[in-house]
Order: sequence, then C-alpha cells, then structure tokens
Amino acid sequence: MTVYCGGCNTANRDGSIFCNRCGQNLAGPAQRSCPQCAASNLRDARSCLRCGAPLPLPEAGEPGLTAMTALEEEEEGPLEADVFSLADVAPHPVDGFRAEDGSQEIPGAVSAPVPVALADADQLLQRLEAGLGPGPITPAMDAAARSIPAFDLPTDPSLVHPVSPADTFAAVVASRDSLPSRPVQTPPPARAARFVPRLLYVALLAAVMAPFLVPGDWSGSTIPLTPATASFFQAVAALRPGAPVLVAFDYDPSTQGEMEPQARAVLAHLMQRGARIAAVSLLPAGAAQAQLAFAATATAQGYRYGNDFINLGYLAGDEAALATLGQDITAAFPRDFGERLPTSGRTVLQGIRGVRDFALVVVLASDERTALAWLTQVQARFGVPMTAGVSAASAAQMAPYLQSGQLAGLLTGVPGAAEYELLMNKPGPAVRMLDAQSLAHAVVVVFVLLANVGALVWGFRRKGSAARLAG
Amino acid sequence: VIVSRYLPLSVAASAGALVLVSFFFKNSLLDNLSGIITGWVTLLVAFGLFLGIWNLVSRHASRVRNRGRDWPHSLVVLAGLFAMLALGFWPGSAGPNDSAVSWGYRYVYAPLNATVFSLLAFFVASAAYRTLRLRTRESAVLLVVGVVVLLGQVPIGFQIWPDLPLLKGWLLDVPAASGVRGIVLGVALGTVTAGLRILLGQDRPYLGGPKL
Repeated sequence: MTVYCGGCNTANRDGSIFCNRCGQNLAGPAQRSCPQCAASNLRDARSCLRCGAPLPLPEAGEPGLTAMTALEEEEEGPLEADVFSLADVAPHPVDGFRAEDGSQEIPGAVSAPVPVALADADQLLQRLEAGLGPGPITPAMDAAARSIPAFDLPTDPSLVHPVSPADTFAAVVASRDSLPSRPVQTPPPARAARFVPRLLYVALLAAVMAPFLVPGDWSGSTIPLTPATASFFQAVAALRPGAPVLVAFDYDPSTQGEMEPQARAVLAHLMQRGARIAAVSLLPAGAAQAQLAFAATATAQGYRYGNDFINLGYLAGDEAALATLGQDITAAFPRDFGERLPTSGRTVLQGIRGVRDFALVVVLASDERTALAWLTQVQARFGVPMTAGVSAASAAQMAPYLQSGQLAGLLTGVPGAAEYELLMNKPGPAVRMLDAQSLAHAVVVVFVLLANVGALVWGFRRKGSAARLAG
Repeated sequence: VIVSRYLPLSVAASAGALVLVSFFFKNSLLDNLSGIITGWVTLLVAFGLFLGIWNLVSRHASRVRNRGRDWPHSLVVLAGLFAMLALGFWPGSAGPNDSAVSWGYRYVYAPLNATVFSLLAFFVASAAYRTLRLRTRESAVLLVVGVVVLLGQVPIGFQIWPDLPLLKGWLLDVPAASGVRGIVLGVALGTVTAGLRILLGQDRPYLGGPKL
C-alpha cells in the first residue's frame, strides 16, 4: 500500500518513515492517517488532504488538539453533513490516474467507494499551505458533481449555469485574491535536498586540498598525543640494536593513504634503533606495499636488503596460515619476495626459526579482522610482544586488546601516524594529511549543525502554521 | 556410506581435534603434525586462487564472445589480467618484483584502487549529513557523540576545546569498548559452538549439508 506524504503528496512505499521527496516524517506523532486512503495528514486536519474523507477527531488530551479546534467542532457539528458517497455515481475505478512517482497505482479514493467532500475548505487550505495547488479533479469527481441535483447546490447563479463545477472550483482556487491572506510556505527540503549535498562535496574537496595548496601550520602544532601512540613508540624505543622485528603489511592501495604514513614512520624508527626487519603479508597486495615503504625509508637509513631487512612476501591461507609461522619461518617462505632467493641462511634471519624468536611483531592492518587474526593466532599462542597500526575505522574494535595488554601500543589512522612523526621530531606527510583531515571533519560538522538548525527552525514555522490553520 | 560420509567425517574431526590440542599443549610431535595440516591450508588457498582466475577468465571470455552486456568492460579485465601475467612470467622477468610489474602496480593499479576508495569520503560525508539529525532522543545521542568523535579525532577539536580529545577517548575506551567486548565474547562463544558441532559431526558443511 502506498503512503502519501501530507506535506507534498508524494507517493511513498509502504512502510516509509520519511517522505522520499521532502523528507517529512510520515510516521511521527504530527501525522494522522486517513481511514479511507491511508494518506498522511496533519494532526489537526479535519478532512483528508488527498481524498477529502473526514478524519476522526483527535481524542481530548492528545497532543496537537487545540482548545479552539474542539470548541469549533462543538459549534459546527459533524462534518458528515457535507459528504456524499462516490459509490453512488462512480462504481468503477477511473483509469489513467498516475501517481507523482510515475507508478500506475490507482488511489483508493478513486477506485473504492469512499465519501468525498467536494468543498472542504480545510482540504483546500492545506494544499495551498503546502504550495500544491487545488489538487487533481478526476473525471469521476467531475461526473459526481454534475449528477448532484441543482437544489442541493448553493444558491449561486454560476453553479446552475452549464459551466462544470470542476471548472468553477479551479477558477475559485486560481483567484488568490479571494482567499484568506495566509502565508504560503514552500517546503525547503525539496530544494535543499538537491543543492546542499553538492555544496557539501565542493566544500569537502576544498577543505582537503587547502593544506596542500597553501602550506602552513594549519594545526597550530596542537596535535594531542594519545597514550596508545606513546606506548607504541616506547615499545620500539626499548628494542636493543640488532633485535629482530616482524612487520606485517596487511593493507592494499585502497587504504594506502591512511596506512602508509604509519608504515613509513614506524620503519624509520625501527631503522633508527638498528632493528633487523622481516616483512610478511596476509594480503596479495601487501608485499608490494612493503616494497614501496622500504623504498621510501631504507636508503636514507643505510639499510641493505638481505642483511638488514627482507621482504618475505605473501602468505596464503589467512588466519590458518599464521600458525605455520610458529614452526619454521623459512619453510613458510622458501624464497623472499624482493630477490626471489632462498631465505635459508640470509643474514637478516640469522638466529630466527619461528615467530617466537622475534623481539616484537608490528601489525599494520587496514581492517580489524586481520589484526585480530594476528592477535589470536600469534600473540595469544606464542606470547610474542605485539603492537598494531590500524585504520581509524578499526580503532574501537582494537581498544579492548590494548586495555588487556595484548597490544603493547596502537596507532589509529592518520592521527596516529602524525603523532608518531612528532614523537620522532620529524614532522612528515602525516602531519600535513592530518591538517586536511581536520578541515574536512570541521566542514562535515558545520554542515550537520546547519542542517539541524534549519530543520528546527522549519519545524517551528510549520507547527505555527498548523496551529494557525487549526485556529 | 562409509566412504562418502563417515570417512570424510572422521578425517575432518581428527584434523580439527589435532590442531585444537596442539594449540593448548606444547609438544614437538603435535606441533609438527599440526604444521603439516596448516601447511595444507596454504596449498588449498593457493589452489583456490587458480580456480578464481579460471572462473574469472571463463565468465568474462564468454561475455566477450557472446557480446553480452558491458562486454567491453570484460575485455578490459581480460587484457589487464593477461598483461600482468605476461609481464610476470615472461622469460627473464623477475616475477612479482620485476620493474615492469612494479610499474603497473604502482602507476596503474594503486592509483585506480585508491581513487575508487577515496570516493568513500564523499559518501561518508553525505551519510553523516543525512543521518545526524535531531529527530528523537536516541538520534540526539547519536548526533552529540558523532560530533564529539568527529572533532575530537583531529587537531581542530583540540583548538575548539582542549578536553574534547579526552572526551572522545573516553567514548571509545569505555562505552564503545564495552560494546565491542560484548560482541567479541558473543562471537567467541558462537565460534566455540560451531567448532564443536563440526568436530562432533553435527554440522558437515564440507559434505554439502548440515546433517546426514
């Protein structure tokens, strides 16, 4: 069953909570459904906006029922006196009625025998308040009006004239001067829904590009240091020279922007400490990402491939394959990724048999699932110290493992990488990226707040309009 | 019945029990046996990659041959696949670390992949704009928490209010972490249950159905 919006009369799917066109709440307390056609109407409405059927009055004490409305009902009597049944004159559905969403559904007011109030002033005024005009006059309604005996019509000479009542109705409505001087409000969401998101996209793009086009200290050197990042830094700083460290590059180009600043900062620190570094990956693209990160850091630190660091490559098998690292790492990786040479006997791997022999395992994972695999299959099983760098979206999932001590430190997203760069006294690309991220977050928050303020103001105006209509 | 049902069941139960026991007890024999079984997993996954490539090629080749819907896109997929394979397997190539393969990865695949993922920023911004609305009490909580985390995550939040990052940290460390703990515990219990059902033969996904 289609649900019609009380604000713009758009047909929405059954079960819709908000109107697809204007965003109005279709199920909120400010709405009342028509018992005949199920269209949503304002709470104080006395007749249906769509089919004209009389609406049951809100019970006393219900919100939205004003004292004036109740008093008026007592004085004016029931509305049924002005109602006749369309079934008497239009027993068959009228073909060709098309809803505003393009569907061919025939509204219940036309297809079913329902009472129709032709001259319901409230219906007319509600539609005008919504800027919708008088509404469609179907051939059946016109035929029904024509079939009414002349003595039942108001004693207006124009109505006994051969002019169609529907034409008269439209002519009266088109004459704005003859209507009460009430403000006609146009629902803003219909325009805003198209314009504001585009403005948001442009503002977001400008915010992201600004720090790169106009270099400067946008953050004002006010990047707060989090304890998780400080713990990560201390875990690396505590390594003795020559300590073996296993680094997992479990990210691909899709998250490279967030993860590579972390990788570069951590690798630079490990190389400063003189650690021997072995890289592995559970993702097929991770080995290539490790190559890129080593290329950006190793030369500057004087690190040589095979002696000081090695890229072991991709380990197929995901979580189950991690267990093989506990046995013999050279068996799991017979040849390395960088030179395609046997790993057995390489200088960088001297004294290392399984993952237990590493002084530290650093997991750089873009998703929490991979990081959890390392935690459960390596850290929990072999008891090796572990730190992790994850994307900002995974920070909440990793927090319990940091609190339990299973993780010795945690970097989250670009902020974590920027903090690490500042701890090393080498502000790099992560700090500038954080400037862009900071402005982008500010733009989103400004748009969210403006949207809420606008919705509140529009809601107050609408409530006031409804109250005036009821009064 | 014995060969088709009970033999696979006994093999699966034995392998699962062996790996499970080796997780809790330190024994060289158990470790070696468990290592062999987990090594098979790596081989099976690698074989799965070949199956994936075969499926990809057959489906897209069929679409190109029949001029199906968007067949030029399938042609691009096949061209990219075979181009990278040719560069890697060409005689004299250094394999995945060959300079030509690295060039294709670094200057074609990586930028395209990153570009597609970057669009997510606009979707997320649009979703935040549409979702964070003050409609009910619950939505008010969502709005406040969303704004606090959005601003507390970046330096501008610190500039607005120096305690905002602390508030963001509390939200992540206490309410969010509590929820995560509940989810993790629930998942762990479910995993234990599913594992026991498979070990005991109650569930047999490897036989194509849950029960005999």
